[in-house]
Order: sequence, then structure tokens, then C-alpha cells
Amino acid sequence: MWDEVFDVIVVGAGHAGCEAALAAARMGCRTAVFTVNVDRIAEMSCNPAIGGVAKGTVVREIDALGGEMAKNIDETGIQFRILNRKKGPAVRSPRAQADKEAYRKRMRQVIENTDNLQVIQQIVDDIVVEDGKVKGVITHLGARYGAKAVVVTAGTFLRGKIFIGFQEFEGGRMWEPAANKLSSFYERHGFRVGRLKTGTPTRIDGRTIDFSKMERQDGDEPPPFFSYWTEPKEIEQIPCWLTYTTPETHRIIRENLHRSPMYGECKLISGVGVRYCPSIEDKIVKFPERERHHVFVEPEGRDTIEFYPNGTSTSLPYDVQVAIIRSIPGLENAEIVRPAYAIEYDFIDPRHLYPTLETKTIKGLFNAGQINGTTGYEEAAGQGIVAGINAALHALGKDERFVLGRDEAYIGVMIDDLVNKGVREPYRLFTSRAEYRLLLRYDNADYRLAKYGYKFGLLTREQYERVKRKYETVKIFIEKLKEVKLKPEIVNPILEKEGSTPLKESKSAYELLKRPEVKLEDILPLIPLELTIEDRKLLEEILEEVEIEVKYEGYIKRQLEEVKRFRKLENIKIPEDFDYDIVPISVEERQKLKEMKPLTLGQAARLEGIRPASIPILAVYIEKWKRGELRKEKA
Amino acid sequence: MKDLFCEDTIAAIGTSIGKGAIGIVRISGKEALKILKKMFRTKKGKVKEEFEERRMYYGFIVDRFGEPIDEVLVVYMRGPKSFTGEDVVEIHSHGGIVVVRKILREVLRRGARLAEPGEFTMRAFLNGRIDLTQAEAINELIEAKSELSAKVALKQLEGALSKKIREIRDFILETRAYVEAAVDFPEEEVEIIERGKVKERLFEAVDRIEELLKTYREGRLIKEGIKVAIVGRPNVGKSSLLNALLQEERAIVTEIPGTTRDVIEETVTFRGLPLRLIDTAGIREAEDRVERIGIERSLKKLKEADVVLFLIDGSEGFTDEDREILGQIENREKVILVVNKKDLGLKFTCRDAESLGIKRCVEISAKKGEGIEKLAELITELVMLEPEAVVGGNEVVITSERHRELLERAKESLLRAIRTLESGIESPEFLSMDLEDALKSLGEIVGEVTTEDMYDIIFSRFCIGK
Repeated sequence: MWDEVFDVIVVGAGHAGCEAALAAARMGCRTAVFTVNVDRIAEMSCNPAIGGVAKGTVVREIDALGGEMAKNIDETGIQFRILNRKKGPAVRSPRAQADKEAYRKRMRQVIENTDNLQVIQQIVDDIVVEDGKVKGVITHLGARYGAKAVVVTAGTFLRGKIFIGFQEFEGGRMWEPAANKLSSFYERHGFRVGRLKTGTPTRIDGRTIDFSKMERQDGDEPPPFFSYWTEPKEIEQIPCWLTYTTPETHRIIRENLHRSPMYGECKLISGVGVRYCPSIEDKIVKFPERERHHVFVEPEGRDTIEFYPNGTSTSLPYDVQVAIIRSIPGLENAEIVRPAYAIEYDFIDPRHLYPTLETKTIKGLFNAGQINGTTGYEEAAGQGIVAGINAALHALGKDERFVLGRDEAYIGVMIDDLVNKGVREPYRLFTSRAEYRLLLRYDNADYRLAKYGYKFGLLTREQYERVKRKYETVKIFIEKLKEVKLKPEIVNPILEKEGSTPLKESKSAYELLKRPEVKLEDILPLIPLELTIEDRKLLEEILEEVEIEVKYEGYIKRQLEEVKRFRKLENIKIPEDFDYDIVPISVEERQKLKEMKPLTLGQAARLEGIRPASIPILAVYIEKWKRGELRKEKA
Repeated sequence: MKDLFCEDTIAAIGTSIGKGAIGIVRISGKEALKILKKMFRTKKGKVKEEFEERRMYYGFIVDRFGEPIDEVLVVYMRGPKSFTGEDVVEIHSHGGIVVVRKILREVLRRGARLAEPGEFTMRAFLNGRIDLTQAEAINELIEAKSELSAKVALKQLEGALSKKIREIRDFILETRAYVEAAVDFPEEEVEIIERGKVKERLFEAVDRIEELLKTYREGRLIKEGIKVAIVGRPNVGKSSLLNALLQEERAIVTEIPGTTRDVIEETVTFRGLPLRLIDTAGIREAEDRVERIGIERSLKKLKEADVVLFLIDGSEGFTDEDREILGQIENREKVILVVNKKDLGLKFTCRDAESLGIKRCVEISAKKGEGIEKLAELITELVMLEPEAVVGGNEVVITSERHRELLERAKESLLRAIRTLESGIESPEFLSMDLEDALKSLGEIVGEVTTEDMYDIIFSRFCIGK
């Protein structure tokens, strides 16, 4: 019946697929990852960068869960920076430029060196389902592979269609075959399938760029790495360059809009694009008053001549692309290596999923990444690791499921948004999507999530011990700060230097640190606490944590209070067999709840169309149901 | 419900406003007794530390400055042996709306939150004080209530008030959008809004809310009194009615200086509700210029009135002259038809009122003082209860008090945001927390805004995306 049988099959080896496959294999599942092209594992199809505001925090979360993305970028990055450095800790975030080829290569090596993990270069055409349970996959060669769980991370490959002007090609990425059959599997099983659109700019030959006309942007020194477990080291960082579009650029675009597949005479593209990652023609149409737009020229790697002109994504015809690029200062003589293009693809309505990313209708089938309507490598990888862990738990026959709350991780916020609200446009994370962002910081991802990574066997005991030690020390340190009283004559010179009001009488170091202008490093020499921590990186992390927790204590406490309230509903699980028909709420509400199958009362409360007043009523009925009182009544 | 699991303490007026001589403020929740202790003083002006369960205590309720508001009887019921299953405190005071509201406001200031429609009952249900079989009924009740309050809210919020609040909300949302855009898109060409500018905007929002709070209807009604105009042709009994109203409830009568020969104005505190009674000169067709001036003045007064008592002589029926007067009244919503001289036998009764497009009607005998009680109820109903909506008997939903509370809360959130700015905390996410709180409070009045609404502003204002 099967050519080969696995525990977990992952369809796709992009950023979601890699994390899913690695998590499942590391949890002891016999895992296969299918890809259309082994040379394109962990390909960065668009910009050569990882991280950014909110996204960088996701990378740290993946790291704390025992995923690979952070380590991979640390090993292959060519420029590292912290964004929003001058702002508060909740919105600070690391970002790095990647060497695309090195990134792919290293991820492939990791996968190839992981036990239980096999790579198969075939296109998955169909998924076998029996009695509402996933059984395996069938490839375009007719080969059949059995599995207890299947994770689909198809990215932009489902019925992918590429546009350059009025020319269109099939493809999941430029020059790579689309997966045209898998969408019909979903349609056949009653999933809502929609269409989305994204795009990518040209790639330019660096030898033809005049960098002297551009503004140079360097990385931070020392480079801020992503992973908690990356040792500090020196690397040679490569700069990015900033230039701008010109009135000439805008004129060219305006005059050629009729040749766009979006705005032109033939509207070929129907998929919904991203509001926040618009093509250059979108920007000109929507913001006609703007005289210029940023263009960041980013290297695609150390050993390549290719550069990525960030901000010039377009689906205009090739001759217009050339004209646009050459109208930009520094790119007057630029030669284009690869053309820009728009791509339209199928996505599956994520409201078909539980927050575990398992589909509600087919047991053992999981969707993760761009197939769920998201955009971004980090968003994909974050879903990948959650789906991978849950697929493994399922395949191993465990009852436990892994769901991250909105109060625990950006990954949790994202998945909760996806499965409850669905998507209208490609979904990207922003810090403002998180209600509790003062708690979901890049610095404390390990505090929030390492316990799960360790529990599922994705972190070693040693790694976990480091996290525990870190936060225990933070606690001790803060206590010490409260004890230590600083005398005016000792501390005033420091305060004056920082422009802070001098003391009249002694104050605890803790109180002083609460002042926004007083930095921990200023008063650190005055604290008589010997930290026996040799690991310099760990020490720095501890100091950072102490500073944040003391300085923002009031705000953090406020959010912790809110979380307490939030958890009340979140902790009430709704039994799988719960009968909504016995609850005296409106018919529409019952219908909605039956369809959406919320796992918790909190999730039920976040669904559209459920009235707040119905929630306590539901609570009472669920409680009675659990005690077995209602089933009797019904019988 | 804001708090589905009864963590906080709620309060509401437990009697219908204006009805009955006693007003009850009911408090339920963990803090109930603590709140009582803060406000209650014995006869001798002492703080009382111990309250036995289910015992009435006589004393005073004082405000924050220790000034007595009213003499009261209070009772404490310890949970779970109470209606809601929680600690419950009841404060019984002297009826009048002003007093009861003052007490309620004081309770809210001490940490309680105004109860939502059906919330006391809901708590009783959640705490197992009401049987499960009653759940269906409760749900219907809540549904009915929310429908009613929705209607009420809509009615109240049509026009200028809601527009103003919405404007403030959108103004704050816009400010937040600017702040958030700078956070989430540090590398984009987002115009960074300066801290000074943010502060300026926040102060402006506070000012706008304060302005609203000042002009608030309920506030005005209580401060300035309810303008009740009495109209009717001569000899239908206007002065008897006036006297009857004045005699009721040991009314306090004051002459308001500057009243003219045509418009007599007197203020009575009636059931705790300050009424400004305006007796207008006849408003039929004028025969000479002097009379016309008087009539015009009367018409103006009529327009300004909160309530119009249209008095007719029921023993004579509805005359042409009556019809003429009715024709001069533009807004019939605020009219109460008062059919006088019930004692002489009526040719025209309230049953006929509907055909005139008047919803409220009462039959009285001003001379004998009959029906004055009912009239009083109708007046309070019209000005207070119409928007306030009493439902379910023992629970009063004070929509306007709610709005005031929510506006106050929004204002506090904004002030906190300003303090955050002034404390020198550079990063905007802290500010944003307070702005979000303010938006939530205003959202409870005029409808919520979501983060999606904010992203709409961000992405339409700024060209974001590389």
C-alpha cells in the first residue's frame, strides 16, 4: 500500500517546513520533508533579511522553543542591528541581513545531520484521508508515503502564478514549478480556498552600482546575535545603502501603469496584496503627493554580486523595470540580474484550524506558514515549529497539545488571530497586535518559552538550566537593589552627570533605577553584589533584564493584572464533545461555536458574533457538563 | 460584562428613580463592606468598624471631604447568603434623585463600578443563587435589556453628543496611530510625531472631554433644573395645577428674579428632582403687537422646555382653541397631556390622547390634588427614565451616569498618558497603553474601534513597505 511509512511528513522545505521537520524529528518522530527542489531548502525568496520589529522577537521565541532560525541567521548573517534601540524594550527588536546562499546551505546541513529526518525531492499532489484521519501523501510520480501526521507548508506554491507585465507563468517561485494539484485536495474536503498576492523586486549587479551616491548604513558593533546560545564573536559586517526614487521614477511608472497586471488594461491579478509591503506602483498610485520613496540597497550575500533594491517591488514589464531602476541615483548604469515579479497563490482559510494548527475536519493534518495567509519568513517559521511539535505529539500518540497563548508569545498572538479572525490580506505581525507587548519582549523570550522547548525535548537540560539560572539571578539582583541604600555624596556626582535630580537623603538603588535617565551601568559599581557568572553574555543578559524589570515595573505589573483576567477564560477548556444545543444562547451563536470549535472559553469570547453576555452562561454549562450533570439530564 | 467572573465590585441604584420615598443604592462584591466603611458615619460622626450581618444601622453617608450627603439606613449581607451570592451592602436614603445619585457617585468614587444591565442577576446566576432552569429567562432578560439599552443608546446618541464623542475617539485613535507607526515601522518614512505635539493633542482631547462632561444633560438637569412649561388656554386650571405641584412633597418654592409678566417661573424640588415651572401666557393667535411679543416669548420658552405640560379642561372636551395651541408645539415627544377637572366628569379622556400624537397623558383634578402623583411619575419618566431605562424591576440602568463614568475614565487614562510623557519615559508603547484604555472607555459609549481601524489610518497616511 505504501512505498514507505513515516511518523510525520512535512510538505515543503521553506522556513515553516524546516522548523516543522526539525521539531518533529528532534522529538523522535521518523520524519520526511518533501521539497520541489533540494537546492532551495530555506530559500529566502524575497528580501535577504531576518527579523525586524515584532518579527525579530518571533525569531527569539523560535530559538527559546529550540528551533533553528536564530542560529541559522547568526551563522550566516552579514549585518546585525537592533531596531528601535532608543525606544522601550517592548518594541526593540533585532534584524539581520543574511547571506542567502550561506543561509540555505547551513539549514540544509542541519537538516541532513538530523537523525530521523529524510529529504525527498518530489511534488506532493494529494493527501490520503480515511475516516477523517490523515493517512499519507501521493506524489506527482505516483509514489505513496504513509504518515500519522502531515504538515503542509506549501508557501506560495499552491497554483502559484507569476506576473511580469501581461506575461504570466506558472510557478511557485521564479523558475520553479507550482503545486497545482494540492489545492484541489483542500477544495474536495470543503476548505475555503482564497487567493493572495505578493511581489519581489529586481536583483541588481553590484558591479554596476555607484555607491558613492548613496547613504551608507552599517550594522551595530558588537553584532547583536539572535540566539540565546550563540557565543559572542567578531564578524565582518557588510553595509547596506540608502537611496531614493526620483520624480523621473514616478513619471515612468505613471506613464506605464496601463501595462501593469494590477492597474493596467487587463487586470490579471485578482489576489489581495499587502497594504504594508506595496509594490512601487502601489506607492505612486496611493501616495501621489510623495516626491520620493526610500530604496534600501541590500547585499544578497558575501560572495555574490547581486543586490536587492528594497522598496522597488513591481509587476510592470521588464523594460519598465529597467527604466525605473536606472532613474534612481546610484543605479543609473545598473544591470539587472533577475527581473522583478508579482506572484499570486492559493491560501487556505486559517479558520479551518485549531490553535494547534491542526485542521478541524481532518485529524493529523496541519497547515503552517504562507498557506495560512501570512507573509514573512519569521511568521512562517513560528507557525512551523508549533505545527511540527503538535504533529509530533499527535504521531507519538500523546494527548497533550501545544497551544501558545496571546499572553505568552507573538507566535501565540499570530496563530490566535489567524484561526479566530481569518485573513483579508497577507497577515504580518506588528507589536501593536499584541495586547501584552510589555511582557512579550525580545529579551525575555527564553523566560516565556524555554520551559516548553525543554519539555518537548527541543532544548537540552543544560540550555534550560542556563535560563533558570538567569532568571533566578535576576530576582536576587533586584532584591539586592532594594536593600542597597545609596548615599547622596556617593551617588550625586553620577546623577548630575546624567542630568538627574541629586539626592538629599539616601535612597535605594532600586528607587534610583526607576528614574528613566538613570542607567544600571552608571550605578552598578556601587552595588556590592558578587555575581559569580563567568559567562559574559549571560551576565549582560541578566543586567539587561534587571534594568527592564525595575524600570518598567509599574507598567509590567499592570499588564500582568490584565493577563490574570485574560487567563480566567483562557483556562476554561471546552470539552470536545460539548453539546452547544443545550446552552440558552442565540441560534446564530450556537451555529458559530459548532463551526469554529473553540478550545477554550477565551477563544470562544474572541469569535466574531459571540455576545459577551453569553460567555458566563457558557461557563456555567461547561462546568455542569464537566461534572456530568447535563448529560444525564439529556439522557 | 466587563468582568465575567465577578472580580470587581459593582453598584447601582436599586429603586426606580423618583418613585417611592426611599432610594436604595446596592453594592455587590468583595469591596462592598470596605466601601461602606469609608462612607458611613454614625450619628456621632464616628467611623464604624464592625457591621453585623443583616442588621440595619442608622447614620450618615459622607462624601470624600467628610461632608454628610444624607441620613441613611444601611445593611450588610455577607455572601453567599445574599441575592447575588456575594457580599452585598444596601444604602437606604431619602428618595430624591439628587441624593441617591450623589450617594451612588460617591460609591463609584470609592472603587465600585457601575453595574451593567442584568449584572446583579447574572452574578446571582453565576454564584448558584438562581437555578439553572432560570437561565433561559435571564438570557432573554439580558437580550431584552441590551436591545433596550441599544435603542436608548442610539436615541441618546443621535446627534451632536455622539458625534462629539466619536470625534474625540477618532482624534485619540489618530494620535495612537501616529505613535504606533513610529514604533512598528522605524525604518519607514513615517513622520515622527514629536512628544510635545502628542502632549498637545492629549491635552486637547482632555479639554474636549471636559467640555462634554460640563454640558452633560443629566448634569445640567440637576444643576439648572428641569424646565417644565405649562401651556393651556385660560381657565383650564393652570394656577391650580401649579399650586398642586407646589404643595406636593413640602415643595421649596423660590421666586426667580427677572421673570416677566408673561412668563412666571418657579422652582420646586419635587421628588428630589429640581423642576423649574414655567407658566406661559396664552399662545393662541395674537390680536395686538404687545400680545404678540408676549406670545413669541412664550413660544421661545416652549422650545427650550424639557417638558411641556399641555393642560386642557377635560370636562369641556378638546376645543378648537386647544387644537390651536397644540399646533404651536413643535416637538410632541416632550409633551404630557394633562386632562384636568376629572372631578367634573370628562368628555375627553386619555384614551383619546393618542389620536393627537401624544404618548403621555394623565387625568387629574388639580383642585382636589388627584392624579398629581401620576403626573410626577410621568415627568420623571420623560426626563430621566426615558433615557435611563428601568428594566427588570429592581435594577436601574443609569445610562447617563454610565456615560459620565466612562468619560471620566477616558479622561483619567489620558491624564495618565500625559503623566507618562512628562515622567520622561521615552518610548511610546507605555503611552499607547493609556491611549488604548481611553479608547476602550469611549468605545463603550459610541462603539469600539479595533486595531484594524488603526492600521487603516496608518496605511492610508504613511507609505509603508519597502
